Amino acid sequence: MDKEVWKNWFSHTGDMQVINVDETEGRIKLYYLSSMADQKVIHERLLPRMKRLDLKTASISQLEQELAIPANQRVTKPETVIERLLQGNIYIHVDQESYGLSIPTEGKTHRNVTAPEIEAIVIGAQIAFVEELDTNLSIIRKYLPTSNLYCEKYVVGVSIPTEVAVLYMNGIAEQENINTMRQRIESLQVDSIVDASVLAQYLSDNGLTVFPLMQQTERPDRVVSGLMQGQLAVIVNGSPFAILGPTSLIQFLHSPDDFYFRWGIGTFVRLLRFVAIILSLLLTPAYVASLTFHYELIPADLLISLAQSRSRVPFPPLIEALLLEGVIELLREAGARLPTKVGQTIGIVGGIVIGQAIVQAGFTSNILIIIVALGALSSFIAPSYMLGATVRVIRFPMILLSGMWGGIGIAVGFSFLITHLLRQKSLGRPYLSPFFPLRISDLKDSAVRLPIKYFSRLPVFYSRDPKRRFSPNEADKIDDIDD
Amino acid sequence: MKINVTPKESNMLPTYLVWVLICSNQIGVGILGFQRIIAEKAGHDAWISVIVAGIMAHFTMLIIVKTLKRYPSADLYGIHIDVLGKRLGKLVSLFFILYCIATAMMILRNYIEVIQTWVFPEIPTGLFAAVFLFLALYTMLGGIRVIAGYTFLTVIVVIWLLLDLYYPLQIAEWNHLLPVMEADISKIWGGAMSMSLTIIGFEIIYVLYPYIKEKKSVGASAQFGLFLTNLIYLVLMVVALVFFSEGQLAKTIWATLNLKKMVYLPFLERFEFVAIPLWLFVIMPNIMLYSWAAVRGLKRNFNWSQRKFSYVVIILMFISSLFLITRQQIETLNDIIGRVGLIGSFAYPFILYLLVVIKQAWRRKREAINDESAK
Repeated sequence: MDKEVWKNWFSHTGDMQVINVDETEGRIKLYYLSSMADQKVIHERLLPRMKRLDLKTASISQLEQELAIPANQRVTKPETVIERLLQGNIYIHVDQESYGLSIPTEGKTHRNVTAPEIEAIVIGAQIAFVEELDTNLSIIRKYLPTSNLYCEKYVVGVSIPTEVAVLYMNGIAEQENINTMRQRIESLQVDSIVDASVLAQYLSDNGLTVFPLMQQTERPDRVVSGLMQGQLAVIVNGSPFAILGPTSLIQFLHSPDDFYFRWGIGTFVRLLRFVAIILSLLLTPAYVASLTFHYELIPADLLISLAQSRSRVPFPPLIEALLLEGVIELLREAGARLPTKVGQTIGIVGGIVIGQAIVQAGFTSNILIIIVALGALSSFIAPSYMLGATVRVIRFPMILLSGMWGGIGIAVGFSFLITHLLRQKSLGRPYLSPFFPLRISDLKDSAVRLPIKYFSRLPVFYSRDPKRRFSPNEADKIDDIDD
Repeated sequence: MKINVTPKESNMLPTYLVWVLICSNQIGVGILGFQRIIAEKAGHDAWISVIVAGIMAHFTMLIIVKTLKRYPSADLYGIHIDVLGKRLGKLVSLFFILYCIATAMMILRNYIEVIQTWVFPEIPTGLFAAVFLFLALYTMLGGIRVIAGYTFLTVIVVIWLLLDLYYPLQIAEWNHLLPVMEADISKIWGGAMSMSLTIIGFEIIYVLYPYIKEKKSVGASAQFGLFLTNLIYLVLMVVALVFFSEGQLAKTIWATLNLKKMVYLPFLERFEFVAIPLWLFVIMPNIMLYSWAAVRGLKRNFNWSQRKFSYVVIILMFISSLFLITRQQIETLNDIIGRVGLIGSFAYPFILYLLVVIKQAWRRKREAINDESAK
């Protein structure tokens, strides 16, 4: 790098600060970025100790000794100087010396650790990841204070390097998965990654599918329980979401508090979500199909009330359904973009005003409003926002198919969906596990959640050779009655 | 061409899937209306014919598995080459491939016929043929594991449809079954013969065999699949016999579908309109497995990629579906496949077994002579 580039960078970096340590001559200088470096270090530690020396004659080695700086902090190349400065280091320059010194300071923290907002749960730890890699790592390390928690750091991005950490439990995570993950991250040739979600897409087995093939979570307890079962976690600097893989479809319907509640409640909630997702895909198409083609299906009493409610609607059921589904999607998207306070108002406007008015105007029937609202509600029940979005998107082709070919269209849609899901893989693991390939021992933690005593073995899904977590006999010991 | 096939471990199927695949490949479109054809021959003793046909199928399966067990990991195509030599073997294999394609065609066309009769009378055959064949192609490109997964999941979804037999059984007239054995042996035998179109499908094991992980328990698993199919057929036959009078049954083309009309739920009537779309999940595994078997055969015999042959077979099936228009043509196809299936699935396995035994005995003898002369 020649001087021109250095000067050019210097004059285009407004937050660059220079301090002349020896006031008059400017022989010894401190450089730092005010946005990145901790200025306390300069004023409380560096300057007082430097002033003890005779600054007019002090050499760089004297400074090095006085400040107790290890030799690996010596910097010679201008490129390295820039790199270190950008990381928040302070750079000490002395005229006519062959090298300078860089002193790492703790960069400025972005925000404090707060409670999770996207994946809020009632019972359980109220802590979420933040945008800083080291903070996130320290949260996980506090959960898992063991030397078996392995952490591999990578730098991803050709022009903008981003720090990425891969975490896994040594002895639990399958070597094959670790190798796959390593190989995928190392072979990545991208310009830059902005967020963990982008990296998750690069790491996915299939870039074309609408289904999320990697879990993303802001909950440390979810990451920790994943790690303890043999999953791998990827944390990206600058993103408050961790990536978890390999994963299967059913895990997107799991929430950590399924395990915090008693098993009966956990199972009930999981079944509720399972049914809700299927209903969300089925309800509106079923309405369209039965009213367009198969009205024989509906018993006479029900048909009368349906016909009355639809008597003023001028559109065929397909248009009616697409219209209302479109309105719901508009409301959802608007609600997500608007500030929280206005968002609530939009909810009221959308729910009551538009809902009421649209029926009175004779655009849709009452019953369809109920069905569409139920379907939308059901899609929001998925604990993973990513899966909810996917479900909402695939409703539209489903509705179109049902409008074209009725029940057969719905069957065609589901048929395609089954094959599509069967063909997906997450880090090379089957996406529909444990249903296919059937893993009976993993069904304990799928659409249901059995009592804890059945969880003595780790899931087969993550590793070929599952280990015991605890001896089931110990946990199962019960005294006889009246002993 | 190698006689034995050794697929990658990750492409193989666990043994419990064998019964699912066999059962699912047997139950297709024939189940919707086989009762009339059997009752035509054997009267109200048709249920005995179903049992006879079932026992014959069990026995044939025994022979098929015995044949396959004489090789470490061979399929029908490899055995043909081994037993009949290269040219003749390929020729016979080609017949089997054609049979598979024709059967898949037959199932597809019959299902579309059901749709055209019950739901959409005006819909062009080519449209649904294209849609269903696209679904089959998409699954076939995923390999046998995806086909097996599709079959397994859909069987779990569809098997509950059997429970709707509760409704017709409420008004069943059990006296219809009496007197037992009114039909003589030849009539019952004739009824059993007519089961061939409905009961074929187990011969898929010939092609599946190399893909099964534990080959020891294939026989048991396959027999269980057969048993399940036979049980379902028997139940459906008996229910049809006790529900319809003999005269009614003779006029009912799709008896199983008519039985579904009896279902009444507070929010649902005319259950057959739910059952017909759901039947897609029953017939798709048939189409996929038969086309897959044909594609495997083409790949093994003509050494081209399975992916390309999948496209070829599917396009071929689509084009030929355009020529099957009238009910008569469909009936003719059903008839031919029924006859070919009878010979191919029931008689041919015995012949093949004999050939394999003779060939291997001859080879052993020759080796013994060679050994002696070498000494």
